[in-house]
Amino acid sequence: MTPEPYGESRLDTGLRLVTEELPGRGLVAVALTVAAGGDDDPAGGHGTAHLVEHLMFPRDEQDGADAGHVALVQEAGGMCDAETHRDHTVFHTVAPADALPGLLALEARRLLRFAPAAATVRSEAAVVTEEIRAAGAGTRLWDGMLAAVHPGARHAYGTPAELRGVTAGDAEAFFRRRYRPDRAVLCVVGDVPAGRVRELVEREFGGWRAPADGSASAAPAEARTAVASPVAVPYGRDGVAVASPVALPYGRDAVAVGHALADPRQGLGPYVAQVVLLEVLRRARSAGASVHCGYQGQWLASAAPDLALVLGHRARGAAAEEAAADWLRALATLAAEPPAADEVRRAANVLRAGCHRRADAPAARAVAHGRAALLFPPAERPAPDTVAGRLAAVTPADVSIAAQALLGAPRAVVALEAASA
Amino acid sequence: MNTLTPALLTPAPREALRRTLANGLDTVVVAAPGAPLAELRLVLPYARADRASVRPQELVAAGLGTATAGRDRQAVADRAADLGAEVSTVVTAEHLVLSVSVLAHGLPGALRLLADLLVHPVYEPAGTAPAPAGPAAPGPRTRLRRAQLRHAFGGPHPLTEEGDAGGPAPGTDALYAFHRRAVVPRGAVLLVLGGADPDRVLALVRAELGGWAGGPSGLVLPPFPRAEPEPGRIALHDPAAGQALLLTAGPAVPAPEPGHAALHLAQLVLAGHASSRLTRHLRERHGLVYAVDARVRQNRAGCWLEIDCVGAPGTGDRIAREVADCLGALAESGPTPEETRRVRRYAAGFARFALATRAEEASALAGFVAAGLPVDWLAHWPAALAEVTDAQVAAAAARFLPPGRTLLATLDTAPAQEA
Repeated sequence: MTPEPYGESRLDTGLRLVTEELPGRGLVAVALTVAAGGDDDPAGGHGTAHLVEHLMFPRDEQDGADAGHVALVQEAGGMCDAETHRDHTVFHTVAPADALPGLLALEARRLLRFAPAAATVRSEAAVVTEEIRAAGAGTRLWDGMLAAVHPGARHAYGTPAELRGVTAGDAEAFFRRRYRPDRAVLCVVGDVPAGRVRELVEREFGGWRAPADGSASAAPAEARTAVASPVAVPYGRDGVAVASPVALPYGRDAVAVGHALADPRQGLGPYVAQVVLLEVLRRARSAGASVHCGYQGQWLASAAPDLALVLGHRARGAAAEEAAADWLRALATLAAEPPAADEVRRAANVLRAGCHRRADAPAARAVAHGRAALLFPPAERPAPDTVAGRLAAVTPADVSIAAQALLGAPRAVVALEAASA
Repeated sequence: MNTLTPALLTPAPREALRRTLANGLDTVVVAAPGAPLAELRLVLPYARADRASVRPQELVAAGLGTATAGRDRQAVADRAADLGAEVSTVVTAEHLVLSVSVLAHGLPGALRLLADLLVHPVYEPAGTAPAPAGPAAPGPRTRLRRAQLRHAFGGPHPLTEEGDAGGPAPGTDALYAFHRRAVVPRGAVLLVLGGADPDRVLALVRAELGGWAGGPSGLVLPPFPRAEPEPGRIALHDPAAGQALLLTAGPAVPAPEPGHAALHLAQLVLAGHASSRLTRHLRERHGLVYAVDARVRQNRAGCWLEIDCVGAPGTGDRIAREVADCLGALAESGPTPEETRRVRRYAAGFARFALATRAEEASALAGFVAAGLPVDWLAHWPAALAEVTDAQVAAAAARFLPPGRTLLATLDTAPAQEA
């Protein structure tokens, strides 16, 4: 096929390639997105995906016989990082455009040579454990609420006790099973012609093939231990949770309300309308509560079941339901009557500007393209420049319908208590 | 000339229109065709004037951009949202930067809102809560920073002295008086980057901000008493610090003077990226530090080469010793050709990231202009790096890195044995 300036093609190995020409900045961004996330962790190995992400950055051998991945990228004038989510892992690099051949060679090399030593696995597991520790109470709140509104869902960081048991063999088995060209998208955005990108990708990634034994062709989800929510929210009528009798420790007395968001893969429109709804509420109708849309405040960062989190005031001794009443009333008001057009326009404008800011960075564009291609059906792909348009199209009636949907979706209402209480 | 670096694909500098308006505002309009957002950066000189002005200066910075005589906080927020605009302020040792990022069609409205915020500000009275008994104690890093600069460059100087003088919160009269002094066009820089025609943008700036008057404020950092840092070793002790800190101050040459590019490359061989000597030696080999960096710092007060390390409690002496050894080795023998090749490439690529997004580009370009550099300074930086020879990098290391010319300052939980 003839690649378009912005287009997608597939190598005969199954690897999908998305390219976008972004002339004028002298930069190129490469994002390798793999359908391997925390939800793929094996039973008893929570954090394996996160650990494998770390192991994809081989460090230099003693005294520099073979420089590490980060050092080699930096020597090419670039920088690199990675993120493990529940449904995918993405490795992203940005560098001067003329470094692309070297970058692609490095990217392919770490895929082809993945064979971590036992000592490396131990040291990286310690690094991951430290990341989990540093994430702190804020992350534990998010994870508790996630599991409450989406039973069985869990974060991708990992569990220290389980990470300690992950061996080099386990990591390599996970890699062989999940890191496969037919489960990955490579995206290249920048100051390089798409045809040249394709030539380079075919040259460097032609040797990355799925295991010949077919052991992982379907790569089904493995059975894993059911995740118990620390909040233990019993579900009542219509799948809507009632308040939890269990309080979570937190930095202050408060109430947390978690709402399950619409599935963007089933329709980007209803999901985006909920994003606008939450911004309308955040701007002027939240009764003092802080409103966060998407896991850790990032919406569309993955396609895994997502949530909104609202943190409101709760007086010492007050019941969670009582403290959440103002917020739920504000939501019900919008469900009953659409907001003014001005309110929706303001919320959408703020969100659109944020979309444009994020989409301006080559690395962020590459990551967004990769996620869209890997995780979303073609008709609902949230490509970098399409989301802003979808936001602008949201009407007051859409926002009201979004409020009705949010009220009808699973939610959790949980008291948070200061540790000193 | 040794040009080991491959020719880098260097983007052409953007078209820029620069004019000084009748009110003294240095205005730069940069064309970014097709940009969905316009970026505005207003850079005001904002160095600390005197101790008594610290509180009004802080409160003006916190309140600027939030309310006007005709619009309260909510109305300003609503107007900004109407335009798809985000307004923010950042204060540095030298400047207050007011940033506006706005949907392209909202640029005229954003300039009008900006003028309203500058010309008709409203500052709310301080709360009725009793004033704190005194200023909060500075943290370990701030104390080490002040000690480092005081020893290296002498004092008194705004960068080496205590901050807030304490006492009751200033009234709104003091805030308006400070606003009239500091938030003025003469001496300030306004940069607008966006897709609109630059001449049209300049006309809009003239129309909306032409009535803004005053200045210059004189809020610029004075030079340090000494131009060259005084070498030596100082050690602070704080059992509650929780970690060991090291800051150095060595001689340096600022941009854009000749010799800066060579020093920058020598400094990168020392620290600043994954293959730098200090990174490999202190962090990778010995696990002695959590973080290590080095950079040439420059402002109107002076210029110095600074190494910045953070390590475990009790390691301050050892870190200082290892850093001195690395400085000495690099000054004496110079970098290897391979090290120089690596840092050339790294430096050229990394400079490009300052322009990776239009928001970052606007901030970088406004910063260059405010620092007295040409607006297209960064576009010529890769070529300047490529022209530096390996011998010049070695000469820069020999001249600027000897430990005998460097101040090593540490703060640790245990008293130092070697200071």
